Amino acid sequence: MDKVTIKNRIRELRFANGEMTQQALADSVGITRQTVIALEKNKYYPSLELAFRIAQIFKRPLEDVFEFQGHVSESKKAKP
Amino acid sequence: MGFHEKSAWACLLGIVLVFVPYFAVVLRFPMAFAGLFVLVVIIQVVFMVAFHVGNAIMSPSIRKTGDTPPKDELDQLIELRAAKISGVILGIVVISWCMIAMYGVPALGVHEIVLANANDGNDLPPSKFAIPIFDVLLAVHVLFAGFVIANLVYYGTIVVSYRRLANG
Repeated sequence: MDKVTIKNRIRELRFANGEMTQQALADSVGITRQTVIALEKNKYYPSLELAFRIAQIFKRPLEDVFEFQGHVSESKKAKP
Repeated sequence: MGFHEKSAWACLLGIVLVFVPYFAVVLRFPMAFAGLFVLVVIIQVVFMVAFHVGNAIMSPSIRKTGDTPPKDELDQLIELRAAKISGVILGIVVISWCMIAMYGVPALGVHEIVLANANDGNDLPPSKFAIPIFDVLLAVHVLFAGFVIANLVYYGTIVVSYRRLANG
């Protein structure tokens, strides 16, 4: 399987939402500031629940905040 | 640096500062553990209490909420990974110790009979053997050292994981 990359626009959306600080975002979704930093650097991919909570804070659909950029090789694709 | 990383650093430093000197003494002098062990546990407890009090005084969020920050999913993932690695290390240490003990104890006991017979002319029955308390205590200290090493690996893995997230 190829390496999966999920990019996000958390940093950009924070600034678009009244210059929201990392700590403010962390407090509003119940995570630590270190986790926000890791998310913004793409060092950590959040759980589905956390991803939805972050999208909810920015009042955006999930795909506006997170973008799946990875590719799964043909042999590993799920069969219908 | 977040609270949980600081906490892991404190545990790591506490273990290194307290248990390295402890094992430096008891692995050379296995009988010297009695008072030393109590002292080591007291120092470790005092160190951890001092850290938490100091951290609570320094941290505005702890002062505000009166509680330590909850662990989020990344903290839990890091802890799980650390627990998995340290668990494997502890398992290897315990199984190695058991294997050495199973083969070593009879050999050590027989060795003692041979020595006893050779030195004193004792006529010990072959079904009995003696192991010196020195060797038994040393074996117990080695096992305990394995447990402490597994803890070092646990906190070390947590610290390295946080540092890699911050820097790497």
